[in-house]
Amino acid sequence: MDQEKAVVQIILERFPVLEGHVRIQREKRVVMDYLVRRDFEKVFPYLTASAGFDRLLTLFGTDDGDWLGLTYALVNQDEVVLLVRQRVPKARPFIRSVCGRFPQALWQEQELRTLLGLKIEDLPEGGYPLPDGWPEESYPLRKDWEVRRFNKSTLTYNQPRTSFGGQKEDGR
Amino acid sequence: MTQRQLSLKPSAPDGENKNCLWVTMASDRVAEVHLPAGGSHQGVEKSCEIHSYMQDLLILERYGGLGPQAHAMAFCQAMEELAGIVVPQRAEYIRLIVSELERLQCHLLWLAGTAREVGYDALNMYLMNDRELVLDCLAEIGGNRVKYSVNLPGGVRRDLDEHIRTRISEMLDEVGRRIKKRGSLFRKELMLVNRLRGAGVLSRDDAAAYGAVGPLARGSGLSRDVRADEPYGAYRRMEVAPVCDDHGDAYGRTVVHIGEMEASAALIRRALAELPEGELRAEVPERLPKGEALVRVEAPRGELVYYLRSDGGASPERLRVFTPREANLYTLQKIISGNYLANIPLLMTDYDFCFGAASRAVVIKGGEEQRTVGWEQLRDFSRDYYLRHEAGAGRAGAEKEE
Repeated sequence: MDQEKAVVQIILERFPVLEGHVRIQREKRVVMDYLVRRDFEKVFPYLTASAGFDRLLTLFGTDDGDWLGLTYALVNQDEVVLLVRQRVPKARPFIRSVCGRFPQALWQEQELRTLLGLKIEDLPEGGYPLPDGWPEESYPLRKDWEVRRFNKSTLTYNQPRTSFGGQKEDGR
Repeated sequence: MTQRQLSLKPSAPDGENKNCLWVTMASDRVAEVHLPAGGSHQGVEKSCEIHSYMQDLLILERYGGLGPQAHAMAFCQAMEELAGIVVPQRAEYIRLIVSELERLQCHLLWLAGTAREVGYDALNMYLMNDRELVLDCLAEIGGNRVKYSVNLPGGVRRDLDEHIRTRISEMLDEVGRRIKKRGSLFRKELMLVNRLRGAGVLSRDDAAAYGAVGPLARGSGLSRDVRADEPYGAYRRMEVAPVCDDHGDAYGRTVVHIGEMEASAALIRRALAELPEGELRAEVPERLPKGEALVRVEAPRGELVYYLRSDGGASPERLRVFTPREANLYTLQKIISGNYLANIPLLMTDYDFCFGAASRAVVIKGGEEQRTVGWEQLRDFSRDYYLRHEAGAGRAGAEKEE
């Protein structure tokens, strides 16, 4: 576990405030807790430019209740995979694109935009992967998006009715 | 210079053909490429969130046409990591054997495609015939030629008895002999070598910068192979050496594919010889504990990444699948730029790009005049172009000698 310990040490030397937020998950895996956007924008450039994590393995988003989470899997020369994360409130889901550093992330970020509803600054326009005519503000990878409410032939999504008490029709 | 825009637009409804390609031509060279991916997105990740883990395994085996073992194994490994299960050694060896058989048949298909695109139809047929021998073995193991469904969470569902092990050994002897013969043709036949050399050049630095994976990266000298970088399962006991080549063009990638087939055959032979006795499967709970796992496996086309997050429920909370083809999209875009239009069919095969059914090309001149060109026509154009090119080169050489 020397390589993994070295990664944790490099991160903590530069960002002591992350003490307790970076841990070794197993051999070749180091995991970081979610950061807010401001902190992420300091940590991510350092990791990719100065800490040897110069390869982006993949990136993906998650729907975490009131938040949208983003995980970036970075790899260094020792093949240690570091999961770096940021999360933004669902009400203001703004993040900055990493395409400037990793141009191959274009399709993955477009997917985050169309499937999860993230607003990504500096990302070229593009509708990947949903078809033309897809209903606006309808994001299939969100937990409240239900397949049974989507009509494939008309490309319409039937929102659940909400009663006066704010409860949805199925009682949730 | 007049520029033309060309759209190569497949619309097959399976996962193999979810990309299309727009190229802007300047004379007979590609000036710009745009890949508006997503023509037939399958929504697999969402689908897996609403099905049980066992149902997901069936869905994921159908993610792509050629890599069911890689997808199923990656998903099972992620589940096993979450559940903290140790897979029996016999099951790990069987997984390795099936994975390498899968690599063998995929690479034979790739090589057959390359032969077809450069105009060697007979060689294409021979290679497809060789592949049949591997598919027969896979069918005998799993009961199906394409979706052999060998994996289960915790191990495998099929054993390799004495009869099947002998069948695999005999097949490897025959296919190994044929690979040697075909490989020497690809390496030494001058017309083939000349056609492949210099096509789709990708430097080692560019491959690294663009995040290329699999034989595409290794054909540029970039030693990137999960079996060696982060060995898993029985590969931990095998010491895999990545097969690389420094040519960085279609020829280099061909050499890598041939070398990998020979290496796969050697791995299977060793795994058969060392196959341990024991159980096929460890018990996996129906509901996985809360947690997350990121798994990497080396699929035939390159690195395949699975991320699985469980909230303790009956279905995954989140599943992310990142395939080598997606990883190589950007590299493909860069490889095609600046190349000849006539090279596109070869480069598409090089990248393992499947156009499949309903492929067509629409040539747009000045945004008004339109002409439709089929994929077959583009392939014929490619072959004619290089025949003319070679005939011209031959004439020039003869004149020089005179």
